[in-house]
Amino acid sequence: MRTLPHVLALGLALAATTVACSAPRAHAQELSERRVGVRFVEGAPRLDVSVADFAIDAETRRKLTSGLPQTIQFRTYAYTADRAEPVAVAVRSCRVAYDLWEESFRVQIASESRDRTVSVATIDDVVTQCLVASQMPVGSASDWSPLHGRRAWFAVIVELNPLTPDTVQRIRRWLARPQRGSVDSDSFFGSFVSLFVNRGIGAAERTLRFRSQELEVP
Amino acid sequence: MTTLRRSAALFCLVSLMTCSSLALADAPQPDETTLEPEGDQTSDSDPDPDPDPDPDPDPDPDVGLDANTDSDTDSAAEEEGTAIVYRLEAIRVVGNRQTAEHVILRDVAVREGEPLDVDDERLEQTRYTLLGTGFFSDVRLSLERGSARGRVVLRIEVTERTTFQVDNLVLGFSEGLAATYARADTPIVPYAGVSVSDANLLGTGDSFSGTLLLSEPHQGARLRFEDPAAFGSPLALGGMGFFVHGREYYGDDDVLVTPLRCPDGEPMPCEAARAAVVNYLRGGGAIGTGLALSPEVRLRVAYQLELVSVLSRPDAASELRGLDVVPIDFLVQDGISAVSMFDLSLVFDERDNAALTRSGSFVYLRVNLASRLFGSDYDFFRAEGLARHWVPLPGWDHTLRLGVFAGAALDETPFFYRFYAADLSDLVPSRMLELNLDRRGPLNLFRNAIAEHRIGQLGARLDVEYQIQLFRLDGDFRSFWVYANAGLYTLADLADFQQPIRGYSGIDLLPIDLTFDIGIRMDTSVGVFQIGFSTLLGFVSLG
Repeated sequence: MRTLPHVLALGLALAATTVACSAPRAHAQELSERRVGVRFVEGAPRLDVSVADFAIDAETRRKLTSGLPQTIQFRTYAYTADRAEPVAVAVRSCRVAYDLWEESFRVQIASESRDRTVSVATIDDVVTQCLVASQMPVGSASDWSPLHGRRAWFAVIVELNPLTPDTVQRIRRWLARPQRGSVDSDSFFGSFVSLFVNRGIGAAERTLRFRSQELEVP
Repeated sequence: MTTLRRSAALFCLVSLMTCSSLALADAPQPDETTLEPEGDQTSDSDPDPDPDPDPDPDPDPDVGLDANTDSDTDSAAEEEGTAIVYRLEAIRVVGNRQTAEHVILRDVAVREGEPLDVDDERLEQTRYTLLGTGFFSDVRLSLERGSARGRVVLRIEVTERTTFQVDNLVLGFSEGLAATYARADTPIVPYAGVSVSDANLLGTGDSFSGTLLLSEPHQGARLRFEDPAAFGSPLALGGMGFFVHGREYYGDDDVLVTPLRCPDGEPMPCEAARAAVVNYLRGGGAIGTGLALSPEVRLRVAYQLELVSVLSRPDAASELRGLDVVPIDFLVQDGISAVSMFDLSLVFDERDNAALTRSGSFVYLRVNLASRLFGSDYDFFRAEGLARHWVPLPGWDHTLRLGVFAGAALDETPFFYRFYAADLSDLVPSRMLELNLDRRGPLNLFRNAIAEHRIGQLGARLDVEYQIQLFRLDGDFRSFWVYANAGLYTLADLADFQQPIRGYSGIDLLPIDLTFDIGIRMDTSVGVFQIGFSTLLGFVSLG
């Protein structure tokens, strides 16, 4: 049985690794903008943000009801205009599995603060659990207090079934070689697989990125 | 909770630091953003799309990052981390128009009748195993209700792709024999070669490949067949057959042959009268098996039997080697002879991509043993090893490759299993099907004893290659790369160590030559194409 600490560890490892390599700062100018509700409470921002449209398409809904676990990762970065690195980051990772006979969704939620499992009845409930954040803290007061008066904004990345770079590397290497032995020392077969299949591996199955409006840190 | 939160935050921040240096270069100036300022920092306008329309005006300051998930709605019931386990009633394969169902099922890691935990990693493994066959462009797994409560059907939906491909296409020119003794009349001979393969022959999961080479003096063909899972085992089983008609050139421009005569109908000076040439046929086959010891390591063993028939050759020939005139050893037996040998190879391959490698290592070791003990007319031992390592360089998308090759062919190794300048130098057309397409030896750019070695018992090469991606595009034409490599190689015979070649002294005794190549690689939707310019440069330097 998969334990919750295991899920948390997986989620955080996934988040931390992908955070390290895909922070959206470099592409900030290319991101579309959405307005995000922001309220500073005790020196730290709390966000109201919904990406429910991420699960609006038929393919994502088909995957969520496939009976096999799907991972949705929701990352929020906070930036100031004059710093390259994020001020803070908030991560929520959901592992969703539809129980075909119970007709309910098991949602394992891992974040930096806690992890838990809930059972919900509909995809809309899954969306609420995984893709709608209400009063979500991004960083702590100590992160923001030195930034008084600065301009800040938030970047959001949502991914369906993301892969860690280590996993990608393992899959790429593995795809480059058939698991079985090969009589042919020229390895034509390996390069063949690598050429035509490998390209599809590496990115999440679906990604949504956007940034918030800019605001002044109180 | 506080400790956990701090640890997690620290963990994430440490990770963030790893990319901060890269991100810094792209940091916009403060005045680059043109968004309108939102004056009220404590209560922003409505988010879009519509989040919680009525956020809690006084949230609990101790709440975690996911504040909303602590106040679950009525539709969410919190529970322990329970597993979802079914009984797997059946496995259903759809979408396979060509590939036999049993070929797909042999790569499915779960079995009918077993309990099936939806978190079982074997399900994901199955998907990548099937993708790894190369037979499919997409593989989707899902579950459907079975015939009774608690039972499910695993549905595997595949999208097939064509598995026939052109592995290698070679078109070029080689330098043939002089029509007269004047080198200016040396003809340039066109040649063409192609290798094709089908990794899923007629949907059986077996692979097939064929190679064909045609030129005026050389013709050859080779067919290979392989069952990657013989009798349902992890062992591959394969066979190979080949036939070549070749013409091998010996010696240099000062060669002398006897008898000085021409075949019927050919006027003097015919080829046989002005060069040491052996016309021959080779044909045979091999059977072998392979085993993957790990995803990175493959072991292969094969037995090969072939017959060599010498059609014509001079009774004797000599050449000028340094200051001495020495007899030419044709390195093949007269008449019909047999080569019976075992072939063992070990491959360690951790490249990220076999076609356009950017990181990883590749090591290849191979030994051949032929002996009269198992029917060979030649006793010989041959070994070769190749190691390459790719290092991704910082900054742009560019890579450095370091490579080393070394080989030895001892005792009575026939000429076609020895090492050629064509194998080690990029400036001479490579051999194909062990046919030496070009009569030229090393270009001898350092003017040393390498000039006396077109073929050797010992061969080695050390090289470095730089590759950089110039641009990337969407669509069928994906990326465009430029590469350049340079290296040193050597060819030698064991006898050179006992009797140095007269006429060379000091460092000139070292048979070392320079090789280099520059070219382009194009990554397209139908494969990677490489065009090298070294062969052309080789002709220019001959001028």
